[in-house]
Amino acid sequence: MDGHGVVLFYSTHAVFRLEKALRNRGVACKPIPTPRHLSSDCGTALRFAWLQREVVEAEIERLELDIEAIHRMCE
Amino acid sequence: MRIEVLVLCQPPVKELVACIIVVYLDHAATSWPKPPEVVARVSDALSSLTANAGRSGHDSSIQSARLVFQTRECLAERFGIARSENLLFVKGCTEGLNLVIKGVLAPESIVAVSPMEHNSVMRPLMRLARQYNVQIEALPADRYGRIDLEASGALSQRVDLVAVCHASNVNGSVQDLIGLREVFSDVPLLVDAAQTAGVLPIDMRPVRSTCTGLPARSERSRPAARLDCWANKSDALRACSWKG
Repeated sequence: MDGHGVVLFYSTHAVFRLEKALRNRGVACKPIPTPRHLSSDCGTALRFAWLQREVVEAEIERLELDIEAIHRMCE
Repeated sequence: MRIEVLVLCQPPVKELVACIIVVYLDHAATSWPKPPEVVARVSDALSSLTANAGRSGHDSSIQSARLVFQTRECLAERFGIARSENLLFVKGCTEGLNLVIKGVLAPESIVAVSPMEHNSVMRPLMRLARQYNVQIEALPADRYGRIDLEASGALSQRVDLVAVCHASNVNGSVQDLIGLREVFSDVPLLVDAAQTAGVLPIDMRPVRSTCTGLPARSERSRPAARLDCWANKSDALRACSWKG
């Protein structure tokens, strides 16, 4: 089981930029509340299937997004 | 200005009917009537759960934040803004202009203006001139207030900001923004687009490295409330340290 990944951001705007880009590429993702055990930030994170990690990282780089971290969440 | 015209009309029935026709002549300042789509959208927002955008992670908050994002994306596409996160929403065009003026200029700065500037530009500039010795240079223009680009070239190497009213609210004269950006290619250009955003095409894609500001009041797009934006957040935010 690969589980899913969670991207943590510094801004909500970046969450939706990445969501839009990933959906344009057919990659399923969903904005979620930032998991408490990953950050005390009250904001929003983006969940994706870990299998798509390379696409996610490529889009982050292409969009020049400043992110806090990518975490793998095993189920 | 609101003019109420009392019209007495004689319908087929015997009673004399009085009706009022409103002739509204202040559309350039505050648009009216609003399109039904705007009324419906605002009604939706007020009657449904519209949570704090970007401040929480629950579904309603995420939905609100997504709407803000989509709005930024729409405006960025419309005005040729490369990064929609650089759009800054403010309460009104005057506030946007003040943010830019006080964010970009410093004591002793030189600002060039057209002869058609609105009070919302000239009042803060005059104050900065008095308090911080900011110098105001009037750009040469023709009898209609249109900037003479060729004659303006001499100023291009020594000004810190160019502020122009895209279309005059007095006589409707329109400035040549493309020509201005070519002449003042290394100077930030502040465009008061209160009368033109949504009516005339505006392209903010950079010419060389110029950063361009566009406090644009979207009255022409006729929102329910004035939606003003400034498209270079880093400059505008510097105003926080220099508010008069």
